[in-house]
Amino acid sequence: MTAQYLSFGALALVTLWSAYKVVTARLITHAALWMALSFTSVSGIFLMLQQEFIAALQVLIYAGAITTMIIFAIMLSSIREIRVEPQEKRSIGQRIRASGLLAVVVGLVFAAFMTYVYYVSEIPKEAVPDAGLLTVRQVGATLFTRFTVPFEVASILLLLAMIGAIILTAKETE
Amino acid sequence: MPIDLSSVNPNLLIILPPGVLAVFALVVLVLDLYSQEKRWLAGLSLVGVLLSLVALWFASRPGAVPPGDYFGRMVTADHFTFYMVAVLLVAAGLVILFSMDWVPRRLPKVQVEYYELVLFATLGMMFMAASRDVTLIYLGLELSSQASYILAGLLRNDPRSNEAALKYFLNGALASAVLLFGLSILYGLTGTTYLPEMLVALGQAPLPLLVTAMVFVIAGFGFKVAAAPFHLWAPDAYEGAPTPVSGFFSMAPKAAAWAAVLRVFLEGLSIPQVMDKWSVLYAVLSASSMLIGNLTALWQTNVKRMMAYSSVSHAGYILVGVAAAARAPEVGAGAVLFYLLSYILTNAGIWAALVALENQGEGTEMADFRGLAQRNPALAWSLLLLFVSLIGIPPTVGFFGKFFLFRAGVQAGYVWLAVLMAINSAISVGYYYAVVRNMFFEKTEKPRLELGSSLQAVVALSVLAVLVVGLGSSPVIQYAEAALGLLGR
Amino acid sequence: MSLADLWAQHWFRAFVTGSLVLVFALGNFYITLWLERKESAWIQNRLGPMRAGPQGLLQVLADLFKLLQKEDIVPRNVDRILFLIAPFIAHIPALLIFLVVPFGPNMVVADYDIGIIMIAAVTSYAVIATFIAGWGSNNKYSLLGAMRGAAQMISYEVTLVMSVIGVVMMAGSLKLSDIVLAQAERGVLGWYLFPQFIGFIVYLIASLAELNRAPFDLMEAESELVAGYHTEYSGFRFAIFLLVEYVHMIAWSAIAATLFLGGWVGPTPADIPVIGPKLFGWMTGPVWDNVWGFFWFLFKTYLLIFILIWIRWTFPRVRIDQLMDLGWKFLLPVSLFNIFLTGVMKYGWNVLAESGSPLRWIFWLWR
Repeated sequence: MTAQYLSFGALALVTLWSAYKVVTARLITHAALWMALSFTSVSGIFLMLQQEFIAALQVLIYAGAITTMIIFAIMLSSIREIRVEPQEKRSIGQRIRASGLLAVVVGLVFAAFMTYVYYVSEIPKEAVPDAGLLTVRQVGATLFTRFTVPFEVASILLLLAMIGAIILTAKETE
Repeated sequence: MPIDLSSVNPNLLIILPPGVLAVFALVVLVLDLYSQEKRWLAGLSLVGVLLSLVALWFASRPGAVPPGDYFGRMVTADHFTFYMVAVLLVAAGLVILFSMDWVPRRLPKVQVEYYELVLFATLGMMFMAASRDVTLIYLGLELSSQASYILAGLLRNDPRSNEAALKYFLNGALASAVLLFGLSILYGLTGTTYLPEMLVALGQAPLPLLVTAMVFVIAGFGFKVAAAPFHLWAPDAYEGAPTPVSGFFSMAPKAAAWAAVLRVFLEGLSIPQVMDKWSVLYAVLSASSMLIGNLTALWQTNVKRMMAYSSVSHAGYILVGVAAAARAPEVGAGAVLFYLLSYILTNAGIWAALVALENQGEGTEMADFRGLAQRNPALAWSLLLLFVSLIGIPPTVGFFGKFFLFRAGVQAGYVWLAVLMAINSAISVGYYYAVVRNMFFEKTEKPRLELGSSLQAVVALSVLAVLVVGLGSSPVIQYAEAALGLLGR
Repeated sequence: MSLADLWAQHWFRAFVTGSLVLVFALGNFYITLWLERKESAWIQNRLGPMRAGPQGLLQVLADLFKLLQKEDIVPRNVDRILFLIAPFIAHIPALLIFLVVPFGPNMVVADYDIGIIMIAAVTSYAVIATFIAGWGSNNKYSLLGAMRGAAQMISYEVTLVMSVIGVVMMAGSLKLSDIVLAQAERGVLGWYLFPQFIGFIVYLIASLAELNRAPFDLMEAESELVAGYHTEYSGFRFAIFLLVEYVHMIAWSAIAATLFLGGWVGPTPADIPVIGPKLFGWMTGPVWDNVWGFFWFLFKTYLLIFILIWIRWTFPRVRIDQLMDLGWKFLLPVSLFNIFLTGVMKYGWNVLAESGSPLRWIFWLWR
């Protein structure tokens, strides 16, 4: 049990720390790489729950596809660095905003609130269904039966996103 | 291993309206590649919407599709679905109709994409209204939202359009995240995404977590419908987006979001422990939306921006019905559904007028309305009637919409809210009158304002509908109230 | 605590098997590197390394020592941390692939149910590593090389996974050991090479592109980009990139051998008719099964490695646009067609297998 808690704690710490670095990293590439780390440790948490498939998908889609997408966007754009213009005299308000302290405080307050809510809620054990090991076969069968319509809607959504990306970014030819 | 298909329960007729729309959207997409002349594709999109309406008519005949859930409990056949899908299709049809002259002038490069995006957005909204499963409701919401973000930024060389798209996107993404967070807590508590089952399972759910989830869902939907503390994106998005797109925003996506709100709260969260809580929360949102929307609208000089604040205040009026629906479901939800129809019918004409002004190369400032009564008396008088309807003066449809909301509020015991609504209707006279004064009592040297045939059609339809639906409102409201009778019970 | 007790402990098992995989990868890296030199020499009608050891077998060792001795140069203005860790991150996916590869009947480190998806997932880190190396070097050739590489790897990863779907459909499982067993049941001619011939060819081309080997080595095209993303690397960091490249090659060949050539399945001397059971009857039992399984697995893997090297030294490099066209406009549709074909053929066999119709022999291969 302790080993489980320890590894969960380590994964959670890595996730949170890298998520924090995503927001605060000065170089936009570093932010993207921190994000990949964050996604990876989330997949570790899935592995701890013995959901291999979800863990693999997490890596495949988030650490693989989405991070690469963002990296491409970075390489194709000219934005390299997020600079906060150093002003001679900054007011206290500006300094607070620049330090990201507010975000940390709000995040902590929110986390504390959610922890409190979970603490006071007595979640009945049987309300949480024990899914067991989710197999690819089950996922496939569900996609073809119950989730046919959402699946198709999702594919239309992706098509739409593609059209949108093209018409918003394509070079205008004369 | 063969897959057990018995639980799918397919029904061609219920999926036909969205199916027709999807097919037309894809066909238009492909034809765009091969056709030099683009204008007829707008007509084709309109035909798609009309055919979808026809399919809906076939599906909604009594006995054609037995009420129930189809496609793995994803698509629901009931009066609520039929009513809302019809309303959304009408809105989409009107939007396509009043964009037909505008799009070739302002968006020559992406003409056809414009119609595709409208069709895809409508498709998403149809699923939002037609499902009792939060998976599909959320996916539909995303489909319509993504299309809306792209539509808002279609004027690529206009920084204000870019700003509108970005603001809308960032706020919308945040709203989606908040909504999804709430929904995922609900799923965690109940183990199902299907609303009726969720309702049953919520009985044993711990209250603090349930209320937290409920607040998140309310906040998420609050963003989407631009209710008052969550409305900050709306004015900028409306002002910066291309004018017909702003019109579209004020009509269809909001109506679909209202449909989703009614579904989720009346079918999923209507257990007694939380009903009062969300009812009161919605009542507070309603009061703040009405007050903030109306009072801010008084100071606006841009009509698009004014209409944005006006739509915030109208979201407040609709929220009266939603709050009332907790205590008097049929009356409250019926009033909301009727009001959605009346708001769409009224707004179509007003936005058509704005589009007409832009077609002549003019802006949408208050000053551009000067002397409209000289330039096109018919349009000016139509606008007057439509504003009267928005204010809620008989015999227009707006009056009946507000009357039903008022009645629902009083029946549910929200007398203070109903009174506030009446007061706010009076306040709203102020800013609508500013436009009317500019139209009728100011002089101008500008030439006559010509409307294209499609714009004339929209204005005429709008005016006609405002009168006809208003005076003949009883079958519509009966259908709307009956819609809820089948919903979930 | 006896060894058997230790073996029952998860951590010990993981440690030992993981180390064995590492040793396997490094040993084969050595052989493959030597093989590449020799093969290129044969193709170009020269001798290759001859001096260090018999047939130049120690040449690789000498080279590696040379690289290790070199100064570890970190140029100024590089993104220091990224520059330093890039080779090691590149190392991860290449080794992780071996975790799910069955080396013999019972020789597999982690027999995941989702084997193929896991492979596809961990390969995505290769793209990130390439990007880190290219970006960290702070050099436009490196960045261009990394960008090309990332584009190429992403495009071909899609094709690669699609080409394997046919095999998954035939075997009805994503688990690599199940796929091997399914092929073992079908006999030698039942290897998925034959029904999935299209898939195999697509896989071969796509894995070449995924490996960034000639004719698809655009990310390090010497004539255009100096050396692509490892322009700035020297000493042992460069050696690690070299290592990663070859380990990757072995990994993709091993997977191809597993998926299309029956993995460890193969005849043993005991299978020889008439004399086999008498003379080699003692060569049975679990240990010998694993030995022969490992032998056949290695044999098939090296066959594929040989082909990959052969291709590298005989084809000219393609252009980047040709590469993208090939991937998206030809290989992807073809692999999608292969999925469709497999589905139709399997359905046809299912329908007709029981009937006496002679038509069923059309579908026999996809049984």
